[in-house]
Amino acid sequence: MKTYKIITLGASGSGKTVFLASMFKALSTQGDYTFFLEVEDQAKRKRLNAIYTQVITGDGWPQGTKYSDVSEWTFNCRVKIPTLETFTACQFTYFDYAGGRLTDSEEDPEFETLIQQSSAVLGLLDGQKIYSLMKGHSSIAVDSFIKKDLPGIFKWMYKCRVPIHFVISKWDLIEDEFSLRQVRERLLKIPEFEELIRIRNQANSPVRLIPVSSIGSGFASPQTNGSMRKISGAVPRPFQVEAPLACVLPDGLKARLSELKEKQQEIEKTGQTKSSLLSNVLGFVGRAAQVSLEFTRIFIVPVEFEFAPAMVSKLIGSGLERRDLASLERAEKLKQERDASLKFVRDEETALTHAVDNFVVIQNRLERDFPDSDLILT
Amino acid sequence: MKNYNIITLGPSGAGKTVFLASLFKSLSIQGEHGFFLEVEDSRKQSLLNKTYTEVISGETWPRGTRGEVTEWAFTCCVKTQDLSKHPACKFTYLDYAGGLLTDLDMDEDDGTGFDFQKAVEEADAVLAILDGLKVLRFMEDKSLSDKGVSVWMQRDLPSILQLVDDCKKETPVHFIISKWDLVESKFSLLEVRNRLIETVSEFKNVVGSRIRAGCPVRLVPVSSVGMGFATLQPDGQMKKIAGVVPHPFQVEVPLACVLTDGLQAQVSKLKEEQEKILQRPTEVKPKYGFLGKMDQFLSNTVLSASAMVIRQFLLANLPDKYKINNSTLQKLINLTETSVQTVEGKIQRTQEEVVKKQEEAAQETENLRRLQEESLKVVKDEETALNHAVDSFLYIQQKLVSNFPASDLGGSGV
Repeated sequence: MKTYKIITLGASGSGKTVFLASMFKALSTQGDYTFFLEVEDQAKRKRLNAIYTQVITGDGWPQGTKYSDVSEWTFNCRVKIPTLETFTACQFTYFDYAGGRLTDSEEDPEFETLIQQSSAVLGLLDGQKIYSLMKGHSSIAVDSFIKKDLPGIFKWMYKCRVPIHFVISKWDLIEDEFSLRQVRERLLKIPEFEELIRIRNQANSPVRLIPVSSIGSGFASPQTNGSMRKISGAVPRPFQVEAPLACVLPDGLKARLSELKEKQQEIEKTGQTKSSLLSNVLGFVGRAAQVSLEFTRIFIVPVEFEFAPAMVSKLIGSGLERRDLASLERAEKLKQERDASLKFVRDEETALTHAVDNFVVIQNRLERDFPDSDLILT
Repeated sequence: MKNYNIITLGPSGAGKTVFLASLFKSLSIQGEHGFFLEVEDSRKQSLLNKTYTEVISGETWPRGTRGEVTEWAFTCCVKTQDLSKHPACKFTYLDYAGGLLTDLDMDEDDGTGFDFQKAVEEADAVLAILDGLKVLRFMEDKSLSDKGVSVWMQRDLPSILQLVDDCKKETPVHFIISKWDLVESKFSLLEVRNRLIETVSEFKNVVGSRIRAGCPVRLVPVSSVGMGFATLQPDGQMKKIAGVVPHPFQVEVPLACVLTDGLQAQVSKLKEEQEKILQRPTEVKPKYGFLGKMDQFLSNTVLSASAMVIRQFLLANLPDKYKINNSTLQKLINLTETSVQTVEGKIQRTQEEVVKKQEEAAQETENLRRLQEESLKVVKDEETALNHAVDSFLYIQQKLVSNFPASDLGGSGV
């Protein structure tokens, strides 16, 4: 089974575990999307359910993950077909690094190994702090966000070249006053942030800014004194918490292909091979599928990104066409494709194909609703 | 003897053990239902009796279960008119401290972790217990601002439903609402059902997928003490009313439905398999009244060749525990896809048809009661005892459908 490792980075208290609990809340049963997540370890499942409950009831906030303790959260991504047979498509393991550890400056070989094996890095940005930053409040919290929290996670991001997903939590606090474009512009004024994005863009490795909310809009409204008041009768509905997971495969594949292309160019430079045809076609993503497969036989691609050509074009195509085609018709077409592929699910492989159809639907919606999510500097 | 394993799912305080105690109390002597239950282990029998006595006469209510997982084995027996006793089948309930399901401080480190997922996958029926007092709070709290209600909606229900989602297609799922005596005067079962579907996404998703797959899912209101035995005090405590005799309400229903729903689910699954082989895609939805759909259509349905093949296939492939020599059940096996489709067409009914349906339901209940009485007369061994017990189960099930149309989550609720 294909397994994707995702490292979650964020300062202590930035809500990494709360994010995972919200994601599980949204995806623990198959409903809006035709896949669901299962936590293998029932003690961990209980814990995620409890953490989400604490988010809603607002008391006994979960203690920060214990220092020196890498929490692993393994989710099986599963597809239930109409006859209730269930197939596992792939697995996502989130490594929730203890917040305290990241702000320490020492070298950490264990963590560096992990970061090399990962398929994506998820950087959690506390929406409350971003809100204060946007409002221009000068406070200790904002100061430490810029001077301590962000450099603390950038440091590790520089060390890897897998896709980065910056998740902005508590988007419900921000959305009424600021757009994602405004937040993005403000963040890009932070030199280290801008520098990180530039490097990523050069390497053609995706970076995204994904607004999420554990409770969704319309569940609570902020009061003048800064507290939140619950809206009568409202039920919490996590907002867009599934998007980072859905982007792991498409973005991961894109990053791997860029890496391959780079290697190919290096080899050509040193004259070891004259297959310039390969590089031409690799550059042309529309046909990247077949060639990259050829190429992966020569250069080792991690097994989690070995896909059949049709799947590659589905994953990459969604990224390439999005500028022009992030339209309603496209959303409709993708949904139809997804619903059609559910009928063919009968094993792990077809389940993965179907899960990918869901991921593409989710990614497409993210790009339609938040065109500024894809961080590309002009 | 055929044995049916049932796992109870419910957080601490939902009333799992009290439910089992009142089930035993209400069925320990053969009465209206034509069968009775025996507890194999006499120590456990006195424990159940003690729990029930505490429920009805104690100053307070029994404390929660602690410690390990307990199996409660009930033998379902039939006593004939000459007073000879014939065991028919066995029901084994798995009970445990409810905190195991939700509380973080239980089982994580002490190594006694009970594998719920495995137990659910292996069960013949799943009994999910929704605490009636919590249901009442959930219904009353229109603004959904009460903390207890939030915990119930966000932690307790999802914990149960994530497990229900793991159970096999042929496993019947019964959600019981305990302490129904507290709810019934204020809310109807249909109102409870609708609000659950509207506000608890896990409930909607899990129940919805099972219904669409044609699996039996029921919502059964029960009360261990019956109506008017206790009243809810302003402080949330339940006060026993002096001098009132407890009459357990509908506690026998989930037990009766284990076998009848289980068999329907097995037949429906096997039919699908067989039809897949015959390449005749149809959907069998075993969700309407038993005799009604059978008698109405069977008489004028000519069994096609493929229906005969299906019948033979079913008889050969049903698990042993569902091979029951009961003529009523045999009709289910004979039921052809044609007749099912006809029933499907008829179920989209108008108002006057609803009235007609209600009359039919009353008639069906009466028919089943008669059948049950008759089959008692011929009980002479385990097989005939089981046959008779099944008639009793069908009667109980039909009474439920008749009194609470909303209890069949696959039906329209009216």
